[in-house]
Amino acid sequence: MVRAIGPDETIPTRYGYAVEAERLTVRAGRRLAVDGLELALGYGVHGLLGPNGAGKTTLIRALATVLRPAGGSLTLLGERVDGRLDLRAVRRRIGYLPQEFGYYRRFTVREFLEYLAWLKELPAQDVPGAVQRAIDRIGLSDRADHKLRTLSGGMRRRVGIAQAIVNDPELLLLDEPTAGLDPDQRLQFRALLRELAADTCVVVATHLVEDVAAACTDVLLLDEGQLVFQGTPADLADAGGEGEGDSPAERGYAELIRRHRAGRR
Amino acid sequence: MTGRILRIELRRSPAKWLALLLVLPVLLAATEAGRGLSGLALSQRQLLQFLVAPMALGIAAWQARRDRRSGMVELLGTTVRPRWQRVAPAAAALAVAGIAGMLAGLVGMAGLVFAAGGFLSPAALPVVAVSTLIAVGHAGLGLALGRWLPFPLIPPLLIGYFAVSVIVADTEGYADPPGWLLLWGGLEATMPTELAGVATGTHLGQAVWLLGLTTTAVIAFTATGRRAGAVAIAPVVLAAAIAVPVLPDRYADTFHVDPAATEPVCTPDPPRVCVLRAHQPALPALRDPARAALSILAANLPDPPTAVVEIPFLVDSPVPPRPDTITIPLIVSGTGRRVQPVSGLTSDLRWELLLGAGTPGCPNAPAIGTADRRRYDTARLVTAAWLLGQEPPEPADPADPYLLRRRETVPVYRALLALPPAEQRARVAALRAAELACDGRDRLGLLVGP
Repeated sequence: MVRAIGPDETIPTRYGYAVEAERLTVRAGRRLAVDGLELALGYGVHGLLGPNGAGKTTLIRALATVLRPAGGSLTLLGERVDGRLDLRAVRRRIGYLPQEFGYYRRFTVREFLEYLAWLKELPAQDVPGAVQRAIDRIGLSDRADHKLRTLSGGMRRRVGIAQAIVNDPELLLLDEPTAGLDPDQRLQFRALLRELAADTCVVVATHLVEDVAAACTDVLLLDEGQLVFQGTPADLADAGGEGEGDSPAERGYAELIRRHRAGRR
Repeated sequence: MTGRILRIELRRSPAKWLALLLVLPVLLAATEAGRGLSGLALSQRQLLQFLVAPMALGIAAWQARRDRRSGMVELLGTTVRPRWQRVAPAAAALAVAGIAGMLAGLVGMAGLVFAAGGFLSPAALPVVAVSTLIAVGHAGLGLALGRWLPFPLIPPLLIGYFAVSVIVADTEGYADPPGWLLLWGGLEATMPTELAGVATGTHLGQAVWLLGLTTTAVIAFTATGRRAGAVAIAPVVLAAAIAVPVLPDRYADTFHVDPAATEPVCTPDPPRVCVLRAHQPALPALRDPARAALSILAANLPDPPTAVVEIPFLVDSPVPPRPDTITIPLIVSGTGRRVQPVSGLTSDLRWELLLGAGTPGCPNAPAIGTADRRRYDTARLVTAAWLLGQEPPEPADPADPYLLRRRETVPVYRALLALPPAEQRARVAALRAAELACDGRDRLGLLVGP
């Protein structure tokens, strides 16, 4: 599919980091789920790890502009978003897969993606091409005109990924994207992540350590709302030593969490 | 692109069910096509009001909950388009479906009327136009209510509540219903629907009110922000302020006899037999009995009438008798091809035409239910029996206490026959003269003595 390149796509990037957070706090209900977070993320795939309740989803939702930060500053794609009312310009450049991904049951895959592309204000002439590319990338070309309610859970999850990438986002936020995918699909998904990493800041929240080890250029470890560790997957594996866990990465994960919690007491 | 999204919404949202629902009354109206287009449009309005509008409300309220029901609220919250742009295609799909359904209904009704040879009354058009506003307005109201009351039970409750509220607001509960009841959109004709014309003020008032209500509903459904509620209420208040003075003061003032529907449609050849334009398919059914009655009168009486003309069946405005014409009100079947006598006598129309020797009955006749009225009716029926040379029949509905029994009428008939033939003829002629003059003399006394 040949696509015309618009002038805004040829403008060089004017920001240092896709995501920059300083002393960021975000509330989830009354609780401070993200508490004084310092973060700077550029291009590449950033795996967001952490135990349940660590603040992964809250952080992703703040990055997706669903939650407004309670304190500190948050800059996305060079634009301050804390306290900002008009988020349309920055939202146009974000893709987001929520943890609970809802969909209109009666829409076909193609209709659903067209609808989301329209909501993200893609230029009308780009929509059919962008939708087809997203469908091809997630490997649902043969189901493109099937209704969503007829698809399996894993296929719907892939539609969720497709709607997140349909606008070629510069910042792609995926909350548990591999839930419901079979091993083969997970391999394809990792390949897709690597492909996107060249010109996108991808943040993947997951609790599957091996996903991070296999596909991420960078690992973020979150616990109790704070950043415990940021480094490469190799760094994570090295931190492990001889602790419990089935792989070096899992051992590193467990060891870093243990150390963080011991340090707080 | 927005057009493409609208097409998706038309295909995938319940809008198509709304369109289907709006076409359904046409099927029910299929048995009524002989009565003409405006009669059908009024029947359609009643169905719309009691059944379809509450359903439209429920369907739209269901549609309004879609984002929440589908778990899409979070994702949609991160998209770029503002709410009003995002929900516009779904709302527009309901409006398009409403208008398309009503148009299809109009075309279907016109086709049925045309096939039945009925009257394609242009008076139906404003009725259907306001009905369309009712359909679209209720869909809009459903969207607004569904958005602000986002609970799963709301759509079925809305259907039930509005059906009940419409019945409560119906004219039946009032001795002299006030005009503002028309804000509910109903048009329950106070006369045979096929003859009814609707006052322009009623159409205008209902249209203004419904446009205001729809505007309020659309704002309430699409708007975001704190001032939206205050802005939303303004159109409906303004519309009510304009509509109530425009509507007739009394509900009854809404209807008048439509001159176009009551224009006579006549046989091309003499003797002239005419029906109302709204009853034009019934002309063949009336022609033969009418001509038979005319020739019987010509053979038996001096100065006989020479034409039969149908008059509107209006209980409260009787037409004075005419010496040269038999005037007769008729009840026409749904197909328009069969006619029933208003008096409830027999299905043989000749009896009906020859009552009182071809007279319609006087406005100053004794009140129904009194003994004097029975004497009056007996004299008229026995006159017809004498002209036809048959004993009076038993009434078609023997349970009706107002109808005359054979045990009352046959002795009178025999008493008349007992007179010399010339006297019989003179007595019948005298009764006809009294009926044409509408004087106060006792008719039974004229016919057979006291």
